[in-house]
Amino acid sequence: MVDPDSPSVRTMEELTTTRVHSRTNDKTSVFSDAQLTDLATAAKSTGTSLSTLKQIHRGVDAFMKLVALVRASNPGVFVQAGLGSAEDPTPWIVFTDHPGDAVQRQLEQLPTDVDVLVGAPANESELDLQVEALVAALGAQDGIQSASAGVVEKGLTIKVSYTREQPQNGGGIPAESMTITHQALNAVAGKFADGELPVTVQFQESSDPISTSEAIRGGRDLNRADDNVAECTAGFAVDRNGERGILTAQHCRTGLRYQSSLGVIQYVTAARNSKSGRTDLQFHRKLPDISITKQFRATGTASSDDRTVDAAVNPVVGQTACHWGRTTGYSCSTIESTNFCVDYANWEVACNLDSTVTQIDQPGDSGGPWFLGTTAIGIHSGGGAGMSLFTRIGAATDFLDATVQQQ
Amino acid sequence: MRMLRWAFGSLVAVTALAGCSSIPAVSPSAPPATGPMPTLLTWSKNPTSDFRTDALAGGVLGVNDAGCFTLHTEILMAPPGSAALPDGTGVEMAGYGIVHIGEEIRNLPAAYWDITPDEPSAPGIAECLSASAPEKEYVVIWDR
Repeated sequence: MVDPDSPSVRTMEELTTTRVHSRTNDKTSVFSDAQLTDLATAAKSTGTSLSTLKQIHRGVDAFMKLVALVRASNPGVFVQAGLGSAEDPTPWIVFTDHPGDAVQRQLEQLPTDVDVLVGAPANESELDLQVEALVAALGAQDGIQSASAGVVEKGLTIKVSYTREQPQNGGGIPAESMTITHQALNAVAGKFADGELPVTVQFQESSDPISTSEAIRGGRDLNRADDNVAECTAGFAVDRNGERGILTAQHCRTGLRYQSSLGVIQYVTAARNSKSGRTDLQFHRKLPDISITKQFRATGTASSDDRTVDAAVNPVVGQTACHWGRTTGYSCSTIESTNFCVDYANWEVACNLDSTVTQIDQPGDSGGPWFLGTTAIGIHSGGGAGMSLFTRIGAATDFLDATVQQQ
Repeated sequence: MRMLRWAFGSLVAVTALAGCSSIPAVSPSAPPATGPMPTLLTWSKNPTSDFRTDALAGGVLGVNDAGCFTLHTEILMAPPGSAALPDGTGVEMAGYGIVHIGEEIRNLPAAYWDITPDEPSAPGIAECLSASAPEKEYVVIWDR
């Protein structure tokens, strides 16, 4: 909704882009072992392939050093710099005005081409001022619990997120969103001589404060929503009818929180029964503004122990099958039987299960991932009589309309 | 397929059937010194099954306004052989020992079961639903 009383934003022409071509003969890219480790770790945590990350990061050391020099020597025109994307790996630097021939000559010495974008409405200092003023203006308002802001879109936009306090037992009514943003924008515009906002501001209200900036990953603890008591384990990230979320076991409670964080996941539904019994799966969607990855905890609790799903296939008899559970951690066995049904002593008949030749589960493991390498094969259900049981991953599609997210 | 193998604990079944709905609300932190015995639901073990689900449960033992034992916010279905204490102040939970109303227990192996109008719940659940805040799930604790 447009607020007609909001202060105006500086007018700007479209940025002009000039690609500065590398003139150095050394266009090879050599990464150190540490960089490769970091890139590999990042590939796991972001879901971007290592080859893409290596392409994007080609010449990153030289580029970072040059950006630092340019920024220091051209504070009046420097805006922002960044690496490229999978679609176009060319790094870029944004200025308000042409930085001069000296900068161009320096850029030509980089091992990669660089896009120079000119015509931004505000330099870095002005953007910093606008960001700080926005956060301060929001934080000063009654009813605002938290606020944050940052420069995005190559220096052309500031994205603001804020969370409102919840009224306590009949307490004050929170202000309307437009009132909150209107007050903040006017407070900020007053700090600039021209009375205009340097760049456009995007507001985003968060429904709940999130205590973790981590994306949702499989294999993490699922705790009871209302008091954070240990409950089950998260399975794999899935897509279901256009929503992304996480699988766990149906016999887990519906009111769950992701690790210790509220406002991350929300129960949607349990899987349909098969002809023979229950399908021990349920789906929790991720809430807006929460990210989710294809990673799952596999061999340990360090992020480097995570793996990225690249396939989801029902297992076959005789193959190795491993799982992660919050109680037992990482362990492996061998598939003994597929399409297994069991009459659980404390629950009901469940089907679409596979069993293993040894029992490697404990209470708390329910819902956790079963896998071989980076292939998802199931979701933990239970065990007994010397075997562990998990719901075959194909049941997620057949009885829950969910597809495991894969690389 | 619904397996009708649930049952009341033998001791408390008569009490429950006789006056479950008329039992006044009891605070979980205030054990009843007098008045009707709270109802404890138990499940009857499937003799053919050694298999257990692997969820965890826990919380404070309480009694809802229907006069039934609860664990945290769910109706409690205790392991076979469990029984309410003679004075109604708690439960002797098979495999775990005595738990008094208001005490907290954790990390019990369990399964949760939705209470929905779409399908029948285990026997006794309907009679044990709180009138003021009907429970959405009941929790089945397995023995050890």
